[in-house]
Amino acid sequence: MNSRLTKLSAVILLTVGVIVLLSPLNSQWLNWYLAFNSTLLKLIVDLTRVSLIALLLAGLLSPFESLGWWAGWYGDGIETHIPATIPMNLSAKSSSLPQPSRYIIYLDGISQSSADYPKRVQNFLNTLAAALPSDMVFIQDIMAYSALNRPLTIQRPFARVWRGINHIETWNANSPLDIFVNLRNTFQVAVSTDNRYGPVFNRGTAQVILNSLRQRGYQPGEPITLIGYSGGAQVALGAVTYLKYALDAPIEVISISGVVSGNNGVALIDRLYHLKGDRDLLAQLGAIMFPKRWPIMSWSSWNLAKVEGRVQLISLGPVSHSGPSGPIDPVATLPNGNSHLGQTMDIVMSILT
Amino acid sequence: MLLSSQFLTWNELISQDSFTHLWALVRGALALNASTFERVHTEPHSLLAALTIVFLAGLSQSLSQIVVLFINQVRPLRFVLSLLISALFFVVGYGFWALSIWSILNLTVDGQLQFVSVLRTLGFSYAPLMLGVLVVFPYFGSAIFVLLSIWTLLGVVIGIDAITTVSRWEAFESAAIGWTVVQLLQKTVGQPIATLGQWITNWVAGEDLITNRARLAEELYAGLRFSRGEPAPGQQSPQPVSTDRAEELQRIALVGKAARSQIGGQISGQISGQISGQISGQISSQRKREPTERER
Repeated sequence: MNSRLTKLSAVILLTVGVIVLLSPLNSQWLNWYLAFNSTLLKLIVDLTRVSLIALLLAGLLSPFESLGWWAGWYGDGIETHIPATIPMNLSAKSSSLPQPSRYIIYLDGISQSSADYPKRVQNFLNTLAAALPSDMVFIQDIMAYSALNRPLTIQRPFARVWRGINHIETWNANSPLDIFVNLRNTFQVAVSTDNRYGPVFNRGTAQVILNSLRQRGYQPGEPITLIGYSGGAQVALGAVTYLKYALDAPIEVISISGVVSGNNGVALIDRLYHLKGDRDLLAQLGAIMFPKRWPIMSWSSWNLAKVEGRVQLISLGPVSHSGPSGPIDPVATLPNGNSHLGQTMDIVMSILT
Repeated sequence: MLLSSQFLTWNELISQDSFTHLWALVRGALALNASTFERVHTEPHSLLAALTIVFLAGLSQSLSQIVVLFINQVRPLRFVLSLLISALFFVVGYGFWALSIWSILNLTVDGQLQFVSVLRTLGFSYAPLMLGVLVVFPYFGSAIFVLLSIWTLLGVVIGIDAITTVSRWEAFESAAIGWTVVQLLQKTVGQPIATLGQWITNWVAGEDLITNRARLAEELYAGLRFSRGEPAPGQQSPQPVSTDRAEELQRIALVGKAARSQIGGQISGQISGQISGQISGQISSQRKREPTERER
């Protein structure tokens, strides 16, 4: 209770602080604002201002989950998301099955808020799980945007809000509320790319992945493939530095519509397959936003890895970032008649097998 | 006596007029308005306002360094105290810079310039750094900090230009030379003061803070590979495995913190030299780091 009160007080203090400290910037703005005559316009402007301040606060608070985890502020344990029972076919040590040839770990896009994936993603995962050879272990229970491996919907100050959003999303898939989940997780991607916080966040996600590997009976040296969708690709690349150190195993990353900064993990990676649709504006934004990916920065680890052939860019054709025209949609079809999902599956399977 | 007139009584402080008035000055300083820096000297409470601005700027400055405190695993209360102490040191640093600029200007150009005038001007020119809370923002924070620092430097130059007869370039030179002198003094005759400052910082944090960037990065590798971390409650026991590397893997820390307390003190500086074959036999002899106060 005390800890909740402390956290709440800290958030309130930060809010008031931000509002007060930003108030000197208000003078010009206020003159402009007072000139409005329309109440509706004022309401819209007010709502926009409140939203911007909320967004700013969310951004300011975003590094503290992973930083606090490392500092031990939330107790001593890293909470692993352990399934009650590990399916026999997934547990490498549980039977006389041959030694797994590869471990595949899926890291979801920024819409992830709980262990239950959206229908489209779940369909992709099911298709992939069915297509994989029996000697590959597929891990798909990682919360990519939490160093604590904690879903948004439990054990958080705003867990109820996230549960509410999930509930509405289930009821109405077209509701715009998922933007809040997307924004929250986008901030975590930003944390992963940040020179200051990134190492701590990436260390946390690497720990989560290591724990999950261990639960599945991972044997040292066995190759690993991380499949990251959208922001999950950045999280995967961020974790590579620490995974490589911990396991000393071959590590590949398949980035599906990935938004990656190019400054984490690329130097150590064995191979990165970067799948991107021509209509994918978000993945394109990543290439513009992160200077290490600019062609002019020829000495950056991203560009060096490209020259060495460790980064392979694969075009998905006229495919967008997500949704009905995204890379894992089973209905949308390409000019050649193959579905978007079919094409992505073909590429992923050709890489894996 | 001169200084006492600069401070507000409580009643004055809460009176909206004086607060609003000072806030208007802050806005002027933010807008790099030269006339604001002239007006500052006619305001009765402007020195207190200047010191407050510098303290808030100092807090911002320390916010840009919070990751150091987090990686060092400083506890929440000590974390807050560390920020406050860091802000206070920032105010002291500002005092030295003001003294340095005042000395240079007095010796070279304007023999009549009052020290308090430089204090006020320099203090108000720190106003952009009050927005420094934004440096916490992920990814964009570092760029914001650079922008705010340049904005502040422009404020300093315009401020000095406004209160003296020197040109803009001379104002810039006096600020730059003043800053360099402070840095040189800090590294030479000021070393005992710097050491005392470091001692106080460590004392408040409750441990010897690691501040070196490379060593901070190395800290994060602690416990990744070779710790004897016990399974967390509800965690499955590690599977028995045969090879040495497998044994190492089984020891992968479940808890970064617990692992760090086992080998953290030793691991820094050794990462590059650690190879898998060496470690398995060494774990039992790895000494524990001296527990910090909070760990006791």
